[in-house]
Parts: sequence; structure tokens; C-alpha cells
Amino acid sequence: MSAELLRVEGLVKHFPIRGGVLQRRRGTVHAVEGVSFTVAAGETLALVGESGCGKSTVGRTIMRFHEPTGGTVTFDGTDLSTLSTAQLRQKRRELQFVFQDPYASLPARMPAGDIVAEPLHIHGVGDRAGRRARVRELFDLVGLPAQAVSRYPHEFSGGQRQRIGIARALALEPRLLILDEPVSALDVSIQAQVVNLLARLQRELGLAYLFIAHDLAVVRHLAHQVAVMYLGHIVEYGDADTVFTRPAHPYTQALLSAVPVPDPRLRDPARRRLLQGDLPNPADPPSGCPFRTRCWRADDRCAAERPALRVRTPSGADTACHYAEEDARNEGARLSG
Amino acid sequence: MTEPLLSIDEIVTEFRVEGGVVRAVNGVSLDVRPGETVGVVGESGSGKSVTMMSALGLLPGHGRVVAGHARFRGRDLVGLAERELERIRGREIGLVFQDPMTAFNPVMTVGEQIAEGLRRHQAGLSRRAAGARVVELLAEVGIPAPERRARQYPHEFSGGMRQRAMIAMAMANRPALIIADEPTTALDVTIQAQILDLLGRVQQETEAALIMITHDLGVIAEMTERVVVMYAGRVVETADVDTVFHEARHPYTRGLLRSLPRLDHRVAELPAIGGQPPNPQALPPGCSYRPRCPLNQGRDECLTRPELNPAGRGHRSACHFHAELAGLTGGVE
Amino acid sequence: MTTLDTVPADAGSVSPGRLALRRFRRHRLAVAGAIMLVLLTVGAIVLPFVVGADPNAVDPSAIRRGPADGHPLGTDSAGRDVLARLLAGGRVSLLVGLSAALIATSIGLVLGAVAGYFGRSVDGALSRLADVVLSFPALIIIIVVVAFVGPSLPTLILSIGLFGWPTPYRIVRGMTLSLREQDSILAVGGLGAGAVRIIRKHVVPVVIAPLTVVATLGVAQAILLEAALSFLGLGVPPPTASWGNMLNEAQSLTILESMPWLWLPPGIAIAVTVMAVNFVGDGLRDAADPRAVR
Repeated sequence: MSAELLRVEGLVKHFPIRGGVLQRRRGTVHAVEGVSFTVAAGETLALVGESGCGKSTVGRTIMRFHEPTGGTVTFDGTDLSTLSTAQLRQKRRELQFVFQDPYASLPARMPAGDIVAEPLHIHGVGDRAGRRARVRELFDLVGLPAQAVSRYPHEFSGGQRQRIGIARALALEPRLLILDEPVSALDVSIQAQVVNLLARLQRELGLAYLFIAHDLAVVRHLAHQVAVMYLGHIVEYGDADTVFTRPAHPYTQALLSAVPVPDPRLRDPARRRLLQGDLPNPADPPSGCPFRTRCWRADDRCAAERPALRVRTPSGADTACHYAEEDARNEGARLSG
Repeated sequence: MTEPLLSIDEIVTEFRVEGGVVRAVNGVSLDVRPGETVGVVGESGSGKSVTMMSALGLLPGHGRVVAGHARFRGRDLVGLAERELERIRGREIGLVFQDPMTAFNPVMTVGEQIAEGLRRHQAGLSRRAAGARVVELLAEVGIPAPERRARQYPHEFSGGMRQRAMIAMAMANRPALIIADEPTTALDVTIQAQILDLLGRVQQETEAALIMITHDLGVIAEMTERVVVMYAGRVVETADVDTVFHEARHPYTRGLLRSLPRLDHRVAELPAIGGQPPNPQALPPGCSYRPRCPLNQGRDECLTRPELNPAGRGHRSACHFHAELAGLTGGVE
Repeated sequence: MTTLDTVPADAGSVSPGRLALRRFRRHRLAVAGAIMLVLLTVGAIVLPFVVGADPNAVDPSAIRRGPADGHPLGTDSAGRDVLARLLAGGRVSLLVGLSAALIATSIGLVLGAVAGYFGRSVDGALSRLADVVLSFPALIIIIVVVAFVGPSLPTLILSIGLFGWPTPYRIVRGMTLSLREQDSILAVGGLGAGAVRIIRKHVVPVVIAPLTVVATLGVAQAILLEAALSFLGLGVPPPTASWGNMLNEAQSLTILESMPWLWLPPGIAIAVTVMAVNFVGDGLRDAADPRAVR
């Protein structure tokens, strides 16, 4: 296990719902409800879950695009909330963000070279020639041709734009990238290129990734650790191989079984664990276990008591389900019997 | 062999854009037989949706079918009057779109809209009977509390529920064909599973044929019997689903399949397709896949457009060198 | 490494600005308006030298004379050449229109960007101020101000400018407010950029295009306001000519009925200028969206 780079503890983010003529507060969206995890240097933690689970809010709150409602974010041993604005700006050099939609996140009126050079300008890195050389180096690093520096975002394809976004994020030599759905807006044939690029950059530059995604196959390919989120909570968290091969939380099981397998010979409708209904309203979350309204396992205990996220089986990941131990025992008995 | 229900024949569709015309669909043919499930797969800009919209007379104002036919039960839909088309769409052909929000009228209740569709196509159906049928339909597609739901507006439905309602609307008049255009792309994976399951069930019960348009090869593998692979406005390969996934004879199909990350096994590096998707305004001459193709290697044949040639039983490939892929498993380097 | 991407092979890069220009050029009325404005401006600057007549020279022998040799558009009540005064008045009207709109737009841009970016109390205070300014009838306030300070060209420009900022302010504030939440701005903030840089490099360039549209309307408004004030005798002080005070001097029934050369030329000039400015504004609005790349 490598050194811990990012530690998030008890992160909470609530959004007020305002309405009416006076914009009074009418309710609260519980987007993130006490989320804790760590990202090790040079490794990838994937935050997975479906829309509305709060995974993007976690990434954006770490970046301070939103102010956190509660909890601490420690980067490289420093609690970010204790830093002054100026210190935070310095720290941010080591912590960068890549957006899902590269077109919306790149300034339309700047040529690609200026976009990638902007972080260097902001932090006063190098002189004119030095910056130009650095931009050329970054273009090469992400696989963009050198003559592309003078072109504008609208002249690139989606995959190329995402490369520009990645080059910009890499300009200040960060140690951690928060990647918010970086390939989900891309065409299938381009996704693989960008996934490979991310894997290569991690190898070559020793980057750590907080990889926020809903595409489990992509996560499987890139992640070392996985945290599965549901309705603002992490319900399962651990080593990627363990979570993918021995999911202990019913939600993780349902999620994995729902992914269509691109091979007709493996077609098996019985494999799918179909969930009932929709995600509950995050402004009015259920009592107890957040997943209980859709869980086949749920009973009175689940409504009364929220299961803690902890190790529940010897070989399993941390799981927030009261019945993970029992299910694992039954599964073991079924396999041996 | 049964007569095809829908027979799309050499459709060519163009869009007017600033500075010229873009040919989005360039001579696409495909047949759908009664009760069968056909998958149309391709990336954005491949023309998969435009082909269907061309056949159904649903092109936006700047699009035009310039050649070809789309025969539904022997009747050519291309050039058919809008009134006639409306009679066929919604009754004999049901439609499911990616974004049900745009398919529903936001100021009418969901129940009213489905009832309207029923009454438009079934003369003599009373308001009361239509209302009862709506509740039945909503229940059939798994919407809880259907009586209450029928009185709600589309925005009060979640994405998954809206898609269920859309399916209820599509199946309301027992169509012979359901066309689903990226029906689960906007949905989360657990909701996608529910909707795919529902579509499969609906199809079984109504014995309708289903055309599934998607970019997701997983959905294709789970749902379809026959597959049409499209690239840059043309069909590049067509075969039964097992053949497409295991004995594809077009380098694009192979490349696409190989480049997919998989849940069931990890590889060190994904074998990605190089290059960029083609720009429909500036397609390369000859084979459109040529600039990205590992079989090209500067061969002269690739400079002429390959026909969709037979490559086996019910199997066609638009590659000059499809024979080189015979027997090879996996991809081509 | 993945295969090197190909970049569109056409020669030369097309900047969003150039694309907008292209779209603008396809807008026929706007191009006509722009040509008209250029002609008016050039005419107002150059023609006086060509015509040679002094706009303030009084010819007692020719008072209120119709168009004739030596005075192509006739003479006014003081025996001054109407053509010379029309051209000189064009200078004044365009100067007032452009400068006042520039002042209003600049104030609106700065305050709007600040209010929109910082939000909260800054926004609250500035927006209330804008409401206050908007709720006063501008013409009456300006009349009061001018009555106190005395009419002069700078007073006129400043007072029109100072009362015109709330409209551009609201546009900029609204856009900035939504921009602030957008990924392109969040991204730059995430890189460590401060407020000044974000506003200067990323907010202003985005809002400037729609703002130009508002500014053109401001030009038209200012020209009309100047005309109105001059018409009331509170604008450009005589003997300096402006289109408005030319109209002012023509306000009698006899003149209206029997001496159209005294009011028709400045009237037409105002109408044509305002229309041309509005056409240009329309064209700019259609050309302004940088993401509508076609």
C-alpha cells in the first residue's frame, strides 16, 4: 500500500431547496451524507453509482466548487479547510479536475495552446518561451499533434477535446486528478483511447486518480479501489477485485448484474437482479438503510437502524448491510453443499 | 421465408447545412421480419437514427430523403402523405425515443395522451373505455398506482417511469413493429435493466417486431437476434447476433468489440481503434473506415467503395478483405 | 501510445470571432445597416470639408429659403445652410450616441460582472441601485440635471450615459450569474485563478457579444434622447448644430406646413441612423452565439 494522498472524512453536502416568492428555504437535498475514503498516491479510487447518488458532488466539494456542509478533506497531510485562500490556491496546483463534457469546460474563444498554458499563466510559471515549450510537451504527452495549439475547441472532436482538458489539468504537475465521468460523453471507439491515455499517464507520472464514473466496465479497467455510492452514502468500499468479484452489498450486486454483457453467448436474464422502483427523493431520504426501499433483503431492522460501513466478512470489502455476514455464510454453504 | 414487415431499401438522406449538404445516410437497406428483434448499432453520426427517422417521415425540416424506399407491409412510406403516415405511426408502428420528456406534451396528463393515441386509432372507443385501457396499460408496464399516475403530468414522472409510460403508449394499439431509438441511453444501469426487461416482455406478449437502435453493444448482445452495424452513413456488416460478436467479418465491428472494457476480465491495455470518427461533411473517398483500418495498409482496393457482399449464411460485410478475417478470432493488428 | 489523432486538415484555423463575422455577413439587413453607419460617420467627418460651408455662418440675405444653388437643402430661420448644419449635427449626434452608449455599457459591464460573479450582498446592493435608477424617468432627471448644470455637450453625454447603465448591467449580471456555475468557469477557478482574472479573461469575453447588441440599442436610444433634449432646448447649446436642435428650431406650424427642408433632413437622418444601428444590433445578436458552429 502506497502513501495516503487524499483523505476525506465524514464529508457532508446539503443543498437548500428554495421556492416561493421570497425564496425561502423549503427543504434540503441530502446530496452527500458523511462520506469517508482515502486515495493512495499513484492509485485509482473509483467512486461509482447512479445519477443522484452524490458521487459528482463529492468530487466538486473536494475541489471547493461547493463549500462542504461538514467533514474534512486532507490533502497530503494538510486539512484544506484550515488554509487561507492564497494557500488553497497553491495547494490546488497538486489537485486538479477533469470534467465530463470537454466542450462545456473549455473556453470557446481560446485556442488550444492558450487553454493549456492558462494554468501556467495563473501561477506565473516560466517565461514565454518556457511556457510554450511546456505546452508542446503536454500536447505530446496526451497525444495531440503540435500544430493543434492554434486551433479552437470547436475544431476538435470529442476525444481530442478531452485530451486538451487533460493536458490543461496536467500543466501544473498535479499529484491527484479528480476525473468526473471523463469518458462517458465520448463515442465507444474513442472511449478506449482516452481510457488507455489515463492508464498510461498514471503509470508514467505516478498520478493518483479519484475516478468518478457510472460505467462499471471502465471502472473495472482502471480502478484499484472502489467505493459504491447510493443516495449520498458509501454502501460498499474496498479493493476493486473484491468488490467486482465478491460484491457483498445487495445494491452492488444489483448494479453489477444490471450491466449488459457484450456477448450473446453469456445472455442470461436470470442473472439480472432487477431492482424495484426508483431512487428515493434525496430531499426526503428513507430512515435507516438508504437502500431499503428497493432491497429484496430489507426488513424492520433496516428501517430502524442504518448499517455501518465496516468489514463484515473475512475476505470481503467494507459493507453497509446488516445481512452481509449472513448472506456470505449462506452463499458459502450453498457452494460447499 | 416470411415476407419482411419493414423493408428499407437503399435509403439516401441528406441534410441542408450552412455551406452545403451532408449525406447522413448513404444507401442503407435492411429488412425486419414479423416478430424479430433487429439491433442497429453505430456511433454518433453513423446514421442509425436518421435511417429510421427517414423511413417514418420524422426527419427535421432541413433533412430530406433523396432516394430509396421504406416498404411497410408492402406500402412505401417514403413520399407518403403526412396524414397516412400518422395513421401508421402509433397504430401499426410504435415508437420509443431516448428522451421521453420531448415525446410527451408537458401540459397534458400522461393518461390523456395515451388515451388520445388510443382513440385516434380506434374509432368508436369511448372516453371511459379508453381511460380504463390506459390504467391497464400503465399497470402492464409496471407503473405502480396506475390510476393516480394516469392523472399526473410527465414532469412528475422519474426518467425510468416516463420511459415505461412511453412504452405503454407505443404498445397501446398493439403495433406490429416497435422502433426503440436509444431507449435506455439516458437511464441509469439498474433502470436500464428494468426497461430492457420490460421491452423484452412486451415484445413477447404482443409478438411485435422490435428494432433496437443503440450505441451500446451490451444492449445489442442482450436483446437482439440480428444485428446491423453502421458506420459513416452505411451498413458495414449485418449478421445474426452470435456471428457479429464471435465471427465478425468487418474490421470496424471487430475493432469496436475488442476496444470495449469488460466486467468479466481485465486486460493491461484496451485495444483501441485509432483515429477519429469520420466527419460526415468530408468523408474519405472509397471505404469510409479506411483511415482507421488495420487491413488497409495502403491497398488500392480500399480506395473504391466496398459493396455489402455475402460473407456467410445471412452474413454480409462491406469490406474488400473480409475473407482475411474468416476463422480469425479476436481482432486484427 | 494511442494513435495520433488527426486534426481537421483544412488550411488555417477558424476562430469563433471569424465565424461570427461570417454569420454577420450573411445577415443582409445588418450589412446594409453597417454600411449605412459607416457612410454616415464618414459623411459627418469628411463631407463638411467638401461642402465647405460654415454651419454657423449667417446669410441675412437668404432666410428660410428653399433648396437652391449654393444651398442644396435651403437655409434656416437664421439664414444658415441646412446641409452644412445637417452634417455638423451628424457629428454631434453620433458623438453623443456612441459616447453615451459606451459609458453606459462600460459601467453596466463592470458592475454587472462584479454583481454576478460575487453574488450575495454585492449583487443585492448593485441590483437595488439599478432598480432605483430604472424607476426614475430618465428624461425628467436629465432635464433637472441639465437645468442645474447648464446644457453642454459633456453634460449631455455623461447624463445620458449615467442613466443608461442598468439595461446592460442586467444583461451582464444575469449572464455572469449563470456562467459562474458553468464548467468552463469552474474549471478556471479550479486551476487557481482569482476573481479578477476569471472576470477579465473568461466572463467579459463571453458577455461582450450579447452586450454589443444591447450597446447598439443604447446608441440608438442616446441619439433619440439627445434629439429629444435638444428639441426641448436642453441639449446641445446653440449655435452648435445637432439633429435635435435643428428639429427644435422647426417647431412651428408654418414651417411644418410649408418648409419641409427645415425638418425633413434631420428627421430622416435620425430615423435612418437609428434604424441602421438597430439592424446592426440584430445581425450581431444572430452572429453572437459562438457555439452555434455551422
